[in-house]
Amino acid sequence: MRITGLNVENYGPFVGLPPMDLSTQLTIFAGPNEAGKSALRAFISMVLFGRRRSNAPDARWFNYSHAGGGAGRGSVEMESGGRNYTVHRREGSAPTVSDGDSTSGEELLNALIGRIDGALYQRVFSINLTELQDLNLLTDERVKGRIYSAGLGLGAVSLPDIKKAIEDERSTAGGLWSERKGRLRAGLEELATWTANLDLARSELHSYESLNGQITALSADISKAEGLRRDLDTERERLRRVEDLRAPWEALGQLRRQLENLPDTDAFPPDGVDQLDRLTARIESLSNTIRDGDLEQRRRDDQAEKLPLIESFELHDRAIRDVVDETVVYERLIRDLPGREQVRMEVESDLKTKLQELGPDWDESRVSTFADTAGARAEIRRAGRTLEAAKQQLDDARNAADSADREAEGRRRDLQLATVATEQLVDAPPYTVTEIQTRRGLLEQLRRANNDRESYARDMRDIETRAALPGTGRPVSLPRIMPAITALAGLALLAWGVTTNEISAIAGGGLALAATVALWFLTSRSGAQETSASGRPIVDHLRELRALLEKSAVDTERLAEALGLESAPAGRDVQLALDEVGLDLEARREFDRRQEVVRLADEALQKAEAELHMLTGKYAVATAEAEADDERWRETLRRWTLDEGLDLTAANDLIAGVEQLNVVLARADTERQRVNGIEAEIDRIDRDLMAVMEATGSPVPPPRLGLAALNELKRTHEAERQARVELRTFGQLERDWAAAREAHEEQLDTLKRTRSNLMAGVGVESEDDFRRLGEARANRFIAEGQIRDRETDNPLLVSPEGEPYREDLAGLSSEEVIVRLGELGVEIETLDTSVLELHGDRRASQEKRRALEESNPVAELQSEITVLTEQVLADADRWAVLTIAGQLIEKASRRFQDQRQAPLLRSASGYFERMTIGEYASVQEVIGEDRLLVVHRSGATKDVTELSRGTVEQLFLALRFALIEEYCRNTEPMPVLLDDVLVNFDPVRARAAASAIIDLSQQHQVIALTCHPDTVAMFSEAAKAAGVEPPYVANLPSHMPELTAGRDPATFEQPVAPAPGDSPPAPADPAGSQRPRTRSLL
Amino acid sequence: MQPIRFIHAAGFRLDSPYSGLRDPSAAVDERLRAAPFEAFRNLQALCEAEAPDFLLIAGGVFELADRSIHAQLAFRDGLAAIVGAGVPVYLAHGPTDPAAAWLPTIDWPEGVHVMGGRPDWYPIVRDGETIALLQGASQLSGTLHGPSAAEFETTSNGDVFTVGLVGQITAANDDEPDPLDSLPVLHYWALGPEQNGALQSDSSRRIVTAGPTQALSPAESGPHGCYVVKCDEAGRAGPDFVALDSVRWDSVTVNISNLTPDELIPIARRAALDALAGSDGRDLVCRLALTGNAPADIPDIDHLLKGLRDSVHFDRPWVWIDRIENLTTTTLDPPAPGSTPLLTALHTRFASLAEDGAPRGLVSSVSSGMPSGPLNADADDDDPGEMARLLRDARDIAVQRLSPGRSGRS
Repeated sequence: MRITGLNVENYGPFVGLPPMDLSTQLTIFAGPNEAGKSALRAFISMVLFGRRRSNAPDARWFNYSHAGGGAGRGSVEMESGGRNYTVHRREGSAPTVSDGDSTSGEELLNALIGRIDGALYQRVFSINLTELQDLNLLTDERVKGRIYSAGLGLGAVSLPDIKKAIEDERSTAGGLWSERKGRLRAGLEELATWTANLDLARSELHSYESLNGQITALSADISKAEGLRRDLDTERERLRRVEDLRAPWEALGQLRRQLENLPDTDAFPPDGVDQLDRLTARIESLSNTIRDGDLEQRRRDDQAEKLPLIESFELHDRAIRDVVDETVVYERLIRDLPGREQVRMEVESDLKTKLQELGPDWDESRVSTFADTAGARAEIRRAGRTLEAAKQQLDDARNAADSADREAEGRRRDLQLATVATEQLVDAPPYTVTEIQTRRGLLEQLRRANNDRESYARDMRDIETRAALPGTGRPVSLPRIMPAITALAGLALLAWGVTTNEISAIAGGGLALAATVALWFLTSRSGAQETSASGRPIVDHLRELRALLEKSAVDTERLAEALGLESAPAGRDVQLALDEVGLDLEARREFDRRQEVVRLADEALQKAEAELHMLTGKYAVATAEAEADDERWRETLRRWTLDEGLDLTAANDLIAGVEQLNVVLARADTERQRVNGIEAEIDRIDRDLMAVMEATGSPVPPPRLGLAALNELKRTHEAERQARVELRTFGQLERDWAAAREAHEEQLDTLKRTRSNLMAGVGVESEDDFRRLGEARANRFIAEGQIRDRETDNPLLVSPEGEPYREDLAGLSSEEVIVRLGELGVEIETLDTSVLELHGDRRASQEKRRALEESNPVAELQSEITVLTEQVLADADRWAVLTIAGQLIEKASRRFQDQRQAPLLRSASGYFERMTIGEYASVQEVIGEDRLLVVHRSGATKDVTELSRGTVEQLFLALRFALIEEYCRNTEPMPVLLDDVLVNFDPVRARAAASAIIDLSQQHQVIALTCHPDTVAMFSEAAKAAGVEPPYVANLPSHMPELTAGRDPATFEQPVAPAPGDSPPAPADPAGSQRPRTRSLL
Repeated sequence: MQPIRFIHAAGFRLDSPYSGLRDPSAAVDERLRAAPFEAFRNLQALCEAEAPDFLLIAGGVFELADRSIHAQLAFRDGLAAIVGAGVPVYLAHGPTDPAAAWLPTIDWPEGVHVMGGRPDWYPIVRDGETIALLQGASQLSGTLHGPSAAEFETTSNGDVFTVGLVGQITAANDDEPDPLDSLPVLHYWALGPEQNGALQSDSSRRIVTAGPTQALSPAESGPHGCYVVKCDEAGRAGPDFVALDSVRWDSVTVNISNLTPDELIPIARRAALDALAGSDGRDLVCRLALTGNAPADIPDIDHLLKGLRDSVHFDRPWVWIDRIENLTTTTLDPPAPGSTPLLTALHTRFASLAEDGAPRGLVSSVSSGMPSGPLNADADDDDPGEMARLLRDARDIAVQRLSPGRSGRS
């Protein structure tokens, strides 16, 4: 693969750099420091291999920041296998590879560069001072391995990687086997563990029988312990029972002793104390009742003496009560009287005013009289309404007569106009419309008949015409005539031939007769076959048409006669007659219509005049009735002494006024009666009050001022009456108490006797003695009950079965029992713990035995071991296979390396000798030590560390050239990048190295970067000396960081692009071969 | 002589582990562990169905190292069911289940007759009449010799069918004359499973070994079960084999010559299903061996195995493909012209090793740091096939990794 051009779009200091063509042999990028040479080297690396990872050791030399910002991008033109490719890459993205026809990606690029990776390319093909001085380069197994891999024809496959992968799987911690780890080792260890577990599980088998023995022994121990436990439980239960019985036992003894000390109370009644208590309580209650009754009676006596009794009130109680009952009435009358008088005066004033308004001749008497005659009012109103109705009828009759008069006048004008319009139609035909229509119908029939006749005639002509045309028929007579003519002609000729003995005439006559026969035959055939246009035979059609024609002629004659014509008119005349009849029909219809209007107008006039006459009569009647009603109205007014000039409204107003006045008058009378009644009632009560006051000796109040006296009298009378009621109640109570007190004293004596008898019955005289005796009896009863209860609750205290308990109760103290119970508790607890442990042990043993019976851990372990064993075997097999494979690969590759080592060092020796101008003869490898020795021309050897810096760089440059040759021996050659590798060489050795590089460039494309103009000259001279094309030189200007298209082109040059088929191009002049070929880049 | 019918069974190997499976699924593992018990249950069912006059068990109830309480109790319970069905049982302990290996406390059901350490006669009675005379003996300990042929005797009663029952009669040493010749003549000899150094069946003399009833390793392919023996009035015994196993083992060979990689799985699947069809409705564990000339780009064996397992529907009866062994032709073709130098060198080296048969020595030379293990213990230097396989696999790895474009960029 060779690079033929660069197109830097944006990388490092370059932005939009013009495309650069490169020589396929040696291209030199020359320029001062910071001109961008290393950036171009990094650009090529970026396009071919992508941007370095940020943590790569050489990332800082290759990863640039770009003047154009963003990601670096650009393309590299390359040639491989005779085809040209363009590789474009944007940093961080996959490349695109185009061959002009199609576009591919990374895979094609990898194929083009021989699947070499960036790191290896850098270690072999890209050489700068730093890398040149790397002493580890030739001992780097990776580089060596890859070099030999390439030599072995493995392409991109790395033999060291393969061996490492095999070794990683075979003998590393992550693989199968290592010092301490590895899957196979882990499997073996796990297998050992499982095997140990298996042995352990098998040993458990032997424990099964011992488990059975253990379970049996444990069961016996448990039975024994549980028996002992039951004994202890029995003793503890008995002692607990004794202790439980101790309290009732002691109480029972105490009760029995208590019972012995109580007195004999058999004669004491069971409820003696209760009887005594009840008697004593009743005696005390009765005594208290009598005492309280006496006190109450004395209190009532005191109250009776203080009652307010008046003797005179008792004598006049009825009169006093009557007058006092009037108090409320009196009070209301006194209060209402002023108000009623005020109302009365207001009503009388209103009455007076309304009388004056009615008229001077009206007083209360006339008003009262008029108002009382309701019939008069109704008569006046009726007469008035009658008069009004008569006047209204009179007006209506007058209006109706006027309207009828105007209607009659209108009808007269309508009749006159219609008559004039009718008289104007002087040309109206004398016939009726029916007659005219009949005539028009006949004319219509006549026209249709004419049309039919013409149609039939036309059809006959058409048929005859078609029959006359060839192929369309001919006249019927023609076929019949033609044979006749020929026959006559034939006969004539025969006759003439016979007559004249002219043979030709006879022959002609014969021929004519023959023709006659033929014509007759043809005529008869054609005539029978011809038809008309309607499809019917012509003869029949013509016959039918003729019949129709004749019938139409007859119809025409008949119609003409009906119309009164002498002959059938022509079609035009018929049409004129039809038009004339149509005009007559219209004129006659208009005349008839106008005559109808006249008739209707005449009828309307007669009706209007009759109406006018009738309404005029009605008006006269209404006038007479109105006059009679007016007279009756006046008569009515006169009869009721009213003014005759009043009309109905005024009369009604007057009557309404009188009626209102009559109401006021009635109200005035009512108010006068009310006031008079109040005053009469007040006077009566005053008189009654005065009589009572005088009778009781009380002061008499003045008239109409007795309300206070009435109230005082009422209060005093009420109090005296209440006192009298209480006095009667006190008397009744005194009598009741006297009777009750006597009964109480008798009952008290009885009770006291009963109590004395009660106490005497038990031989005591006092209540205290009786009660003490009763208490003794109750205590005995309680003690006996408690004894029974304890004996019932604790039968062991009295039963034969309880004898041992009773003996223990008697023989053992409570303290002794408690101590023993405590001891038993401890013993039982200890025993329980022991039994529990025994149960637990037995349960565990049983569980273990059941597990042994139900499952087989050995089998489970065996399964695991089986699988594990198979896995270990598989791993071991794999280990063996890998071991064999690795060893064989190692041995084979080692042998190959051994075979190739000598040529490599020979090649390196040649380059080294050439660069050192023969100072050193060769390079040797120290077998088994991976180090180099150089052989001086004198035969002495030197270690690399003994060489000068420049010589070391020459040595390693030689080795790199040898490596490059070795690598490319069996794989894709790659461009060699040299970055100022000659700077430490002395001029003589630099020229020698340049010469070697020129030679190298003939086999491998070389791209040299330098900041030394002398180096460019050196390469040019070396090329000239070698007789090869001079190198391409691209001069990079200084200060390139912001170089962009369009900047100064004078200092920026690029190689001349070789013409197609002429690579590289020849210099422009002969002297040019000694100068580097340069060209502006822009 | 009355016609009789009895069953001769042995080698139940209850609770013995299976072996030879690389990564069985949980279902397969569970099924295989239960298989010996199921075979024993099948024997119980057979006894109920056939209603033989008696059942002979000639040892091998369990493997000595793998004996378990569970197995012994299950066996006892199973015998109880059999005698409960009216079939008396005669049991002789063999070398793998000697009398001393049984639980001392195990209580045999009534109707189970256990042979003693020395041969003894047992009359077998049916309806009050002796129908057979049984001479049997058990092996008492795993460390002691079992009964020898010379200890058995014949009988003078020629009217009764005679049968011998013993787990194993071993040949004491190579110099000893064939013990079969020393066995007394009986109508039928019921022996247990064949062991190393044990007597083989001799059908001509009616010396029949039975068992095991269930295969437990790839080496035990084919049906396993017991014999139903029918004897006529003349004393001729006709044993008929009855399979009791519930899982079969088989090895299937598939010639993959001229097959494309895409055809491998369908062809192998067909072969596995054919084997399953031949397993009489039982589940099947099988190994698949690829033979013939392998295609150039044969798929990875593990990938092939997974694809094959996925292609076989796992349902009852199921077939479990344990592994696929690549036994294709190992002949190394000479390198093609233009081969890479290293491949050419590798070929030369491999060809040399194949001729020498010395990969094992190569392995040993580099495995000195490895402690003894399965590799050193089990590898058979004398197995040329195994060595050839190792060599071939190593070559495959090397060629695969060294071939450009197959392992990608390093």
